[in-house]
Amino acid sequence: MKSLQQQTDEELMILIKASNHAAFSTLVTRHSDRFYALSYRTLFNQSDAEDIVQESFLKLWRKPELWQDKKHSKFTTWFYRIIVNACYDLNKKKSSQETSLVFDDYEQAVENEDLSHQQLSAIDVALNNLPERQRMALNLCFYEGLSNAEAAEVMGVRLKALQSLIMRGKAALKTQFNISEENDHE
Amino acid sequence: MNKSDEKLNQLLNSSKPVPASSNLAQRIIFEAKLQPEFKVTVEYEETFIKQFLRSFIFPKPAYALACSMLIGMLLGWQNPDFILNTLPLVDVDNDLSSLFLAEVNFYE
Repeated sequence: MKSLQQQTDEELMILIKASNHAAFSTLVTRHSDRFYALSYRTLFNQSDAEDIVQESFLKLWRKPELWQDKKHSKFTTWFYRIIVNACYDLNKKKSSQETSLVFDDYEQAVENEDLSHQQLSAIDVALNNLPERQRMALNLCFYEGLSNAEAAEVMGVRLKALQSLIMRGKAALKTQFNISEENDHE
Repeated sequence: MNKSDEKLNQLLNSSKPVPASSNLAQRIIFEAKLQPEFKVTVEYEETFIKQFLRSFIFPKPAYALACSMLIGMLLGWQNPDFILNTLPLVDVDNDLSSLFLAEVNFYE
C-alpha cells in the first residue's frame, strides 16, 4: 500500500473528504510554498499572501466537497484558481477601502505603501505596476511553470486572451526597463 | 527567442519572493485541527433531509397548470350555463355548404 507521501494530490483529496487529517497535512506540506509564491507575487505583501494560503487551505479542510473529482481537473489547477480568486477579492477589498479613506489617512496609507515598496526590487515594482490580469498571466506561466492552456483554465479565459495578456505584460515590462526590440535583428 | 526576450527573462528570474514564514505549513495544519470536524454523518443527514424535502417540490409549470385547471373547474361548477352558452355551436351543414360554394367560385 502506498504511503501518504506517495499518493497523488487527487488521492489525498479523497482521503480528506473522509476527514483524514494526515492526508490534509501531507497536501499542505507539499504545496503551501508553491501557492504562497503565487499569492506573494500577486499581492507583494508577505502577511497577506500567507493569510490567503492559510484561509484557502482551511476552507478546503472545512468544505472538501468543493473539490469535484468528476471534473477531472488537476488538484493544483483547481487550487490555483481558488488562490487567484482570493487574491483578486483582497485587492478589490483593499482598493475600495483606499477610496473610502479620508485624505489624512490616505496620505498615511500612501506613505506606508511607499515604505513597503522600497523593500521591493525594481522588477517587483515593475510587475506590481502591471494590470492585475497581465501580472497574473505572467506569474502563472513564467514563475509557476504552467502551460498556457492550464493558466488559461486557472484564470477562466480563452487561450488567445491569455497569450495576449502575456504579450502585453511583457511589452509593458520591456518599456519600463527600456529593453528595445530594435537590437533583436542585429 | 530574441535578445529582448532573453533580457526580460533574466530580469524576471532575478525576482525572488520573500520566503514564507518557516512554520506556515505547520500553522495551517494546527489551525485545521482546531476547526470543528465536519462529520460525514451530518452531511449524510443533511442530504437525506434535502432529498426528502425535494420530493415535495414540483416544477413551476406543474403548479401553473394545476391552478388554471382548478380555476376552470371552479368556474364551471359555479356557473355551468355560462360555459355552455359561450361554447360555439357547430353547424356542420352550414360549414359544408360554404366550403362547397367557395370551391365552385374558385373554379368559375
